[in-house]
Amino acid sequence: MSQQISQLPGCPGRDEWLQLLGDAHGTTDALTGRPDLTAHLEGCGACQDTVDDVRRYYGFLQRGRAPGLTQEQRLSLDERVRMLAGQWRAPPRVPARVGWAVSFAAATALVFLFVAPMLRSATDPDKQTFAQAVSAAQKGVQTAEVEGDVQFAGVDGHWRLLRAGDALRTGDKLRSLKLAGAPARVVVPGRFELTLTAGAELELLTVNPSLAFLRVRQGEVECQVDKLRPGQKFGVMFAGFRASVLGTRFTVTNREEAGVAVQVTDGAVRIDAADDPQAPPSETLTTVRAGHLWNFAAGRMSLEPTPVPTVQTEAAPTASTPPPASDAESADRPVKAKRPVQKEFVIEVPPQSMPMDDSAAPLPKAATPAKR
Amino acid sequence: MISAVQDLNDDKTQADAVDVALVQAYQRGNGNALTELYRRHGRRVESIARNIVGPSSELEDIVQDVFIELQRALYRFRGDARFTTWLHRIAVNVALQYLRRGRRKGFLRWVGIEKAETSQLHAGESRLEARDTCRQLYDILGKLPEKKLTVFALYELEGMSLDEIAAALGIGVNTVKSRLFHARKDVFETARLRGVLPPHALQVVR
Repeated sequence: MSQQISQLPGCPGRDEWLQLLGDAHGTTDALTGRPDLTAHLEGCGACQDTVDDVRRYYGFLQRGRAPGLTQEQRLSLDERVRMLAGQWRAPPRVPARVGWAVSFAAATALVFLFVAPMLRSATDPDKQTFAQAVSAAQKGVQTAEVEGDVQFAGVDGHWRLLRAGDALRTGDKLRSLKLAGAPARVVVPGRFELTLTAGAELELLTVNPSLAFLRVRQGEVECQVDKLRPGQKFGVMFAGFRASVLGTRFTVTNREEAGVAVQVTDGAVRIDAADDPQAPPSETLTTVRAGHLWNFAAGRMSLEPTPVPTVQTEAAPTASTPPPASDAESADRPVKAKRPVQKEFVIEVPPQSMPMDDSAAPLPKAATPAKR
Repeated sequence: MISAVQDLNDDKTQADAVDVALVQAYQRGNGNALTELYRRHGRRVESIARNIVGPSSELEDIVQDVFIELQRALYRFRGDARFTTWLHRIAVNVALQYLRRGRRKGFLRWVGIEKAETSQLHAGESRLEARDTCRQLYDILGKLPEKKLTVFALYELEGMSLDEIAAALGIGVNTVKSRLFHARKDVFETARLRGVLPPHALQVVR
């Protein structure tokens, strides 16, 4: 810490004296062996004053040292330390084998607690990586059975006849011929079965091993959904609404003349207003349970306990309170999707009343569930 | 001179060996070894603590806590470092913990000086003067950042060497020098501004 004060012809600064004397704990021992400093100090009044100041300062430090414990306190402390020493017991030595076993158990527990959930989350469809999502989208789903005349169009836009074994991928479109007599049927084993009446058209918004979201553009489509496994979702978009399956099988029907209706025969279906199948659940309009019919027509929404197999209501559409809708196409054409066995719901939207812009068409206040 | 230094080093080595033997005895289950360690180092621990926290009424508790910490840690002591260095480190850490707490309840800190031993007062100084000087110094030190305060107190008040401070705090010697340099300037400036260095305060310094 001792430093050489080189500019002796000039006066050392106060900080230098401070450090120099400080290194000698405030004493003038710092000047021992420094005849140049001693000589300078003797001849320089200003430096003498400075050194006096510094020495006073160090004297102040010494006098200011805090007092220690009194004898009484020290005896008390002795007693406490003796008690402390008496209470101590040497911890038992743990055999090495036990130590290894405990370490192994701790490592195993860590794996189960942290690593396994991480691996599970990696395979969770909701947390899949972008590459995994792309791979799943490219893979699509395989049809096992196709009955009737169903055409599909891939990314190239060319319509081709769908055959059993063809893969359905995200973005594909399906349609049944308008002049076909019997409904066409497409079966994806383990996932869903679609029945398209003549002239029905739908778009596969998302189809992969986990998710299946369809948009019914026109006509009538009957959907039978197998039991959903954890992470799987199935939903049908139509005219600004989204029907999300809470159970296993359902039917959606959307007809031009009958508005929108959802009929559930088994399980439950959640209805909310959304145009994006991946959008987070918006405020649920209603949950239609088995044996109930939800209907939205002429700007009014209703929920009936009476199960109706298929909505054929001749509800006259009015434009007084337009319901939300997403695309003009669905507003122009009737859409129907139906589900036969376990869960069924039918949705009918009066196409004339569909607004063209979703943002400008929030759900009407009158669209609260009401007994019809 | 050289032989004196040699004797001193021998004494240090012998003291270290005794400390290690006591620690080993304690590790084998001899509780009296802790009492002996307290007897040997209790005053030093107390001194370190009081120079960091000031005249605190909690000084007794601080020393006790240091030895509680020491008791817990003794089982892990392997003799890689000197026992005293290790003990100083514990003492500084415990004292700093109290200091942080004490800054939140500073009104308790000046109780201890009332019970100070008379022998600790400087010649010609009344208890009131001693108390005032002490209060002024620790008022000034209380404004120092913790790192500067620790180095300053250990060097200027406790008289530890730079190497000892570096080992006790786990920092480099140059860092100690730097902190000490700035702490000296800060304390000196504050002392002058507060007028605690009147001309009549000049005393014979050792």
